[in-house]
Amino acid sequence: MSKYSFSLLLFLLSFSCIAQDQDSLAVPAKASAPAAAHPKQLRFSFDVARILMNRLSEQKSSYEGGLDYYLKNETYFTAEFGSGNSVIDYPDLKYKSNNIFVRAGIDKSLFERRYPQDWGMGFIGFRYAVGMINRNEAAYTTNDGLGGITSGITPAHRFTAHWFELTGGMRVELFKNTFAGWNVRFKFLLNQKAMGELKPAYIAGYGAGEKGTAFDYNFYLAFALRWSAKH
Amino acid sequence: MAKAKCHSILAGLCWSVAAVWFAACNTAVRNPCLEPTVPKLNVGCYQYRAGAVTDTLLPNAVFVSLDIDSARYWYYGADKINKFALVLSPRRDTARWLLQADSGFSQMDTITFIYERKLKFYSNACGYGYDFLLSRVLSSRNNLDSVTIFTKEVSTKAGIENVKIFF
Repeated sequence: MSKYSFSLLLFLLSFSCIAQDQDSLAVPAKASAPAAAHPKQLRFSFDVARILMNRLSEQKSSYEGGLDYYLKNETYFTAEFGSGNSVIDYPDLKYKSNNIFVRAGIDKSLFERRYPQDWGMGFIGFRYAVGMINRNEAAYTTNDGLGGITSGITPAHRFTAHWFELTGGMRVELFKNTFAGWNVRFKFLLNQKAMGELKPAYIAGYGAGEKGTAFDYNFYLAFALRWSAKH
Repeated sequence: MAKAKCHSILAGLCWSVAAVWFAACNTAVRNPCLEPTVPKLNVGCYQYRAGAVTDTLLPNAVFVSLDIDSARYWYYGADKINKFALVLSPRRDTARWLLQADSGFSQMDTITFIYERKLKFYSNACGYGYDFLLSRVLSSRNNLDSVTIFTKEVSTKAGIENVKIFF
């Protein structure tokens, strides 16, 4: 536990470093870009934490990526997508499931940029997400309390899940056009009944299918394309 | 500028450590099953005396399941109890139980429960189980007077009495 706490301290320490970094780079806005130029940015992100989690878990794997586009007034349109699968192999319950998902929403930076090239941000936002889920046949066994075992198979089930997310996070430009950052997400499943009786233990992009709400996080590496549009 | 780059590298390192930390904490294992998955058929024993129904504490009760390979004692010498929790088999549509109110001397009775089965999914942690719906109860009348169904649904819900046995 202590090593985890130490890691968390290091993590939090990084924010103070970032703040100092930005302070040291602060340049008056008038000195850098012409007033008529409107900065544009398209940023591609990939969740690297999923790769680590895939290595550590035998039950589930998933991949997530996304892109965000700067609109105006420190507001970004965001689209995210991914896929994943899970393998449940318990003594009394065995099935596989897989799904793809798409999320779309808006991120709003909480801080004004200190100079035109300042693309780092702390933000909040929301997402609407749709996932297409396919659960294969499930094999089960039950114990009747008298030592008897019954077994059977329940049919496969396909369905579409909808959920809503509130999110927040940070993006820090570590090197030119290269970002690292994280998101935390609070998710609210909108149509849990559509999953049927046997709800998948894991839905990529959402989490545990049995729960109506979920908490999740992402650690992103991102690369940005930038240009200026003159009006 | 060198200081700023140093800070960026440090932030990247800390971010990587945090990513590993969160990933390590999120490896899925099966959650423990914290709910009962074997439904109990709850039986209460009563006497009809002077126009009123009263609880009857059996002095030395024996309940034996007859529907497995050999007779299985479920209660043996249960003293001064009038509530018993039995089980039904999901492999059959009937379950027979032998009841002896006092193992010292009273006669034995056989109670046969006839029921429907319904598969039920509890959770990924607990898996599947069965609920039952009682349709009939048959019994011999060597020592007991009658048997009636009070609640048809046999499930894992607590505080429900399914069958009343009158002596």
